[in-house]
Amino acid sequence: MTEFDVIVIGGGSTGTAVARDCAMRGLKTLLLERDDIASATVGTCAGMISSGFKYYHEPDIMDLCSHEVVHLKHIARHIVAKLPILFPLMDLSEISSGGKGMEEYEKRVQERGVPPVLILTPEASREIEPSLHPELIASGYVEEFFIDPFRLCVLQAKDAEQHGATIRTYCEVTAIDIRNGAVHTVTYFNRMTGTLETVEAKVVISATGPWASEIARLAGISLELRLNKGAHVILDRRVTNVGISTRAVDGRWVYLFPHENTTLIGTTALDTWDNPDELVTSQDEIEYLLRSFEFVVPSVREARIIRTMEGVRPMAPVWKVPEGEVTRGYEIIDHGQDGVSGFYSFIGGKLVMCRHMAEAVTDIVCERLGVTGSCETHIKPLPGMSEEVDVLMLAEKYGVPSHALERLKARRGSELVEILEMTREHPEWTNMVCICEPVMDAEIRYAIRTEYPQTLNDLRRRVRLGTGPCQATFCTFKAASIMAEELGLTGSQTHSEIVDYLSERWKGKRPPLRGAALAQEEIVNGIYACVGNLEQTVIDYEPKPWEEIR
Amino acid sequence: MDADYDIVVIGGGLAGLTAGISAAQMNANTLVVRKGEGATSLSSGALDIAGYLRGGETPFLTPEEGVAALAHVYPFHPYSVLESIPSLGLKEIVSWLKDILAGSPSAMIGSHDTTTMALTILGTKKPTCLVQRTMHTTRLDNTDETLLFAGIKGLADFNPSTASKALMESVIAGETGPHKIVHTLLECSPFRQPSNISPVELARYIETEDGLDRIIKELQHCTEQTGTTLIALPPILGLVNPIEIKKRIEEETGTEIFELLSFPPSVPGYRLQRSLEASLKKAGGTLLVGHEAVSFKKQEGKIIDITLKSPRRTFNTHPKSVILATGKFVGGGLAGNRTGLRETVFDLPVLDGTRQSVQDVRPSHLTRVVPLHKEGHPLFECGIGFDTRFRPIDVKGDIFASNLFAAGSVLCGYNYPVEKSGLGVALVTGRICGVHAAENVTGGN
Repeated sequence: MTEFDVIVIGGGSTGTAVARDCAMRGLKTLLLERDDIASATVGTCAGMISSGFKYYHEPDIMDLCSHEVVHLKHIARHIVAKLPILFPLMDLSEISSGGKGMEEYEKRVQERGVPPVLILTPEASREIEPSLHPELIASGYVEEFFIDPFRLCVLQAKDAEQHGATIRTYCEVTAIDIRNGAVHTVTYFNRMTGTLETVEAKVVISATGPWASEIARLAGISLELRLNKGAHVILDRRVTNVGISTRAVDGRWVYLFPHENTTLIGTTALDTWDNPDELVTSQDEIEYLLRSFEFVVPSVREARIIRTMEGVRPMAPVWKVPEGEVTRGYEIIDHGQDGVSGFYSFIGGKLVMCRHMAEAVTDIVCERLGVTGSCETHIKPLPGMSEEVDVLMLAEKYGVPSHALERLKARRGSELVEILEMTREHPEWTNMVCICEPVMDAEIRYAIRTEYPQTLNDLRRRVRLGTGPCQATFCTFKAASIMAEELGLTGSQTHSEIVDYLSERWKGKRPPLRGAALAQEEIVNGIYACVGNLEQTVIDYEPKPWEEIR
Repeated sequence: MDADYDIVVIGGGLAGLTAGISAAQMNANTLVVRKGEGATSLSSGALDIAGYLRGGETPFLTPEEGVAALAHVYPFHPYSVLESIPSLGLKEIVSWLKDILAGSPSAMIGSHDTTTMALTILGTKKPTCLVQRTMHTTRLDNTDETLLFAGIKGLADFNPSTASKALMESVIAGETGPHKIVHTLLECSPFRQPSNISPVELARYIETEDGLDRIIKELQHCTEQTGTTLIALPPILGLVNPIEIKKRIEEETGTEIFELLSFPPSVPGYRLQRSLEASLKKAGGTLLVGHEAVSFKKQEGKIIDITLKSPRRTFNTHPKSVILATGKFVGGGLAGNRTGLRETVFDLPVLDGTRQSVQDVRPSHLTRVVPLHKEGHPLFECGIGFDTRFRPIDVKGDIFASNLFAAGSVLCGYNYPVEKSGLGVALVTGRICGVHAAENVTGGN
């Protein structure tokens, strides 16, 4: 039986960060993810690496957030972008609420290289963002940083791998065995091979977000979390130049961020006891978000909704307060206190803290295993962050449109050059497979060869395939064939892959279906049913969790 | 400005053009107006009539049987009207269309009493009725053929390796088909483009002497090496002279070639659209593109005025009959917001397949939990209700206007993506509406 120093359960932002830190400190590390890297909670967030503005009543959290922004900019500059955010004020009463927050915020702006909170006149606000309501009385201006959450996780996993870690996706932990009061083995079901495998571990770290209670239960431990659903509505274009944050209909803060070629509006907050895999955005959540933004961006309904997405916040079990007042700090639970030593779970936390969370738990693990060596995850850059890339020069050299290369660079940094090199032998790989984003054939092949996607949906997380206005209508069959070539899929596997990806997209397209999306769906059915006859051809389709319950 | 026509057809896809041609052939002064390009040009260019019952898995043996079955199982299906019009049977309508298109780039092969299982670019097969001559082959069922799937380097729309694997798997699983299937990518870089080539560009390229020579040379090279007897190509055989191009390649390679059914942008869809437009002109009808019907006047139960608008002008017509053939969501005949569906020209009530109103039904409630389903989404059965002369009915179930007819996918009661009945219903209803509208004008009936 293979023995590992550390088994990390969960391939989200925290899990991949833990695997990276452990591997960098020389621990023999295995990461087990039941689905794909970044396939759950982190994949449904907006990617904001928040300065902690909203959490001014927790100064320690603001310190932590601000330091981590600096670290992430240092290690992953190529996937970090700055976005100005306006807080439009419609009413004098709204001004008084921000005082303490501004003060705390301004203490920490210098290290991130952003200005203090600026108060803009209505004219200045509308010059920056003409779509704001003409009757606003002022707006606050701040600058926040965003990271591509999918790329962050994949790069952390790749870097962990380069430091000797083993990354296993589609491996679902089914048992944690305990011997003499300590973790001993972990058994998992490998969904790709259909086999059960067991490995020995000195330490097990559960970085499973909303599934932390379930994983703890496998070790006979009861762990309470407060699960809270958050939904986003995604629009087909960038409806504003900058981010907007405002109070929702119920007084909570919500935001609207231009994001890649789309706009994200989020989030809702609903306490949930449902299976996180079965959650779908409700009509009320869609209306809640649109109605909330109509107050400050009256034209918000003119854009077309392309989909909704939903995730679950794995919050600390703090009750009887609204979601926004629950601490955003994280906690490492040492299950030694429950009689299982060597087993740790995370609860709480935010995307921006993932590296810090990893550092903290790895320190504990190193001490336990008597390993010396200090954390370097905030010093050593992630893959792709090397010398500057000259997009215009490369665009000319390889005959690829510069707007496509700009986007490629934002995902890949200097890996871009390796991808372009692939097109020397195969100039046809400069085909734009996904035209909305756009995504090039060669990038898809590169991702398949180096980033272990098993499905088209995994590929979406690597390269943003099918995330634009057409929501995979025209790229799915093309990308499926590329995947078939690279992975040696059979014809029927290729067809199943197409239907599988259409199903995944449909989850988010169905709740907001209206307007031009009706024509889009008619085209989808025209292509894949009417002509492709796939509803007759694909026989081994596996229903998704959210499909089985209704 | 006013312009007078006996008949105004709103919508110029297959349903509208069929109606317009039928009316013009009966000497009615006919105008077909169209807002955009329409959904027909996005079609595969094959004409489905009836493939399956909703939820069924066995294709109908013949389109004729399918039409009867659909009419029988779904009393509100547009095909159910056919029984009451003995003079306009399926057989007559199909051969009428074949005559109309004979000699055009989209000349059709097939018959109302044979289901054709046509091969698609995914390597799947689907039941259809008529295919364009360039898409036709009888040799797909021969086990001793060597079939070559030939893609084009830089054309992302078609991957010959996927198609050949899929077809080979179905042959191994027991379906009849060639026992030898190979695939290749032809190198031709049309107009010096190595990638991002569209099927339409290829169709234009193959119509140049250089382009055709290049493709023939590539195919010759490949067929010699593999002993190919039959070649499947994506639909790129030209926009104007595809039949001659097909013949020329067949002579030069000693093989039979045929085009696969494909997705938009679709060269055969474009050809079909253009051929029908030419037929309308030949029959004496007028086509106005870029015009939208924006308002109408009704008096004593009749439409007496239609206002047509283009970006540059607005004018009125006073037709004796009006045919609504505006299509579904892609065509623009139906629209929907979060609270329900509506018809876009006359604000007619929109009904589902069982003739219940969906004016106040949220569109997502008319869909299933999976995107592709054998039963189809009820959403695509929605449209306007009609009487046995295809006259739209209002909320009370009465006809909306005695001189208004409706054809094609604006009608409720059929689910074309799963029934494979799209262009078939457009053809049958368009033909019947055209004849009825013309009779209405000339005073017959």
